[in-house]
Amino acid sequence: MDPDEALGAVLATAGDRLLRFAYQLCHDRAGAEDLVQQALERTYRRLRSGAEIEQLEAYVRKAVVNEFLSRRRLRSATEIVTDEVPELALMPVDSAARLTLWDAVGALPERQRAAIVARFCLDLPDAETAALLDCRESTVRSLVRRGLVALRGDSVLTEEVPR
Amino acid sequence: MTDEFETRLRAALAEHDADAPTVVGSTLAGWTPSTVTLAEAPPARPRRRPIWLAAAAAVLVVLVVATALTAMARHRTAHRAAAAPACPAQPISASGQTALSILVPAKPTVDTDGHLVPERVPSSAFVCAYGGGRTQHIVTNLAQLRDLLYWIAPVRAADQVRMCTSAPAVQNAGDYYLALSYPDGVVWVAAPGDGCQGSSNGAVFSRTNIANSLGASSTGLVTLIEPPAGSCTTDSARFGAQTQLVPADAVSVDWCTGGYDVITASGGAAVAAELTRTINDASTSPQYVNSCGLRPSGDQTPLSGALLFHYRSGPPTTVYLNYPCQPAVSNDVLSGTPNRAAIAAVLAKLTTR
Repeated sequence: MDPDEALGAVLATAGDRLLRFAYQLCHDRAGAEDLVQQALERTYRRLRSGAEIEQLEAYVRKAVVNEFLSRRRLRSATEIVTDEVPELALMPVDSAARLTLWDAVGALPERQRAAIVARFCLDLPDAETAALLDCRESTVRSLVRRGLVALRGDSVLTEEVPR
Repeated sequence: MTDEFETRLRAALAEHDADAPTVVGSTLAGWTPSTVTLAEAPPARPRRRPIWLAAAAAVLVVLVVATALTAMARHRTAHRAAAAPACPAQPISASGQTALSILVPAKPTVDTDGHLVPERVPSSAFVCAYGGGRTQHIVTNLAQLRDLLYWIAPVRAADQVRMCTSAPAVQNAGDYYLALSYPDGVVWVAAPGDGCQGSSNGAVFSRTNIANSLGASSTGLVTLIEPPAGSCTTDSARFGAQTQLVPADAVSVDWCTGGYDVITASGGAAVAAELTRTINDASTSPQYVNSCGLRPSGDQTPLSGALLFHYRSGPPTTVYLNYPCQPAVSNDVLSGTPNRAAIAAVLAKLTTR
């Protein structure tokens, strides 16, 4: 299939799904758009080199994860430590309470977060998550387990308002 | 098994789907594949090496060989005291020599008896970490480090340490070396940051990714991350899992179903022994099966979960059941297909929690 046509079709049919996945990973709208765009470009280069890709959406999704993991690592090397807290917008109490679990997921280490999102957003079986994260199935279980333990142990979350 | 917390988590994540950008209205709306610029490497330019460079290289080779021979002669006669190890400037690339991406700086100079490290506690240890530079961290909990490394099950062949193919971006990120010093020698352990790779001391190889268990604190000390309790999964197969699906002498067993995180039944030494016999009855192959393979005709009733076997000393170990797949049972090092009905009969003897 022609790479332009193939990727155009993926963007049309799965673009929103990929953006939602990227947003769940990075918790940032602009960042999600960048992740998907970078993933599409990488996939395009791969297709142009003559590679045969059967599951194109899954391939792009994997590229999104790779981009997310490598980008976070690059950013951590260039982050500036500051003792000044940035200004925060005021938010209603109910909304703040609801955001806690989401925020806690955002604070997880990147690979744990990706494993949690794969299981609880995409409902992927461990074998597919292992393929997505390029790791063993047991590593996926370990990542999810550690992530859940961290989320359950968060003292803020124990005060979360039940919905 | 899904509990209330997981349901809440699922809902909390789903709630934010609506906040995600959509193709319409995002920068992707105007994106077309043809806008991608394909960067190509410029062709290599042929260069002529000047004659003086070849002469200088020849002189250099002679000097290096002479120096090396002198050093070897001195080394043979010198007292064989264990030199204090130091972190290499950067991880030593294996360049395809092993399935691991990095080599240890030196093979063990003490007997490890088939384990990654000796059973005795080292006199000192440090970690070399290479995530964006080189840092050296001292390990203070030496007994815990010994426990972590000593009980790791090795694999029979060095080429079994890589379980998946990493994306280029993930390779060589956050590689580690562990250096354990003993009065009579040193053991280096290579722990690649790539989660697809295991670890090695240069002579013994394992599938366990130790990098997952290390965490450097701001004080310069290394924290060994303990796996959380209350789950049937473990980070590593216990030593002995390289020869039998269930290492001998378990004193109790837990049974988890679903996501393996909730213990649903347990049994004492007698049931653990019976399960050990039943599972070990199968012939095994030295491979870890990552997905459901051949489903032969016969009983197709699913039986899946994780058995966590506990021992008098050392860590527990996990055995995964996944019937009707074949192989159906794996301990992360070996896999096989024991008799399903026999296992189900023993599982029925466990006490439900």
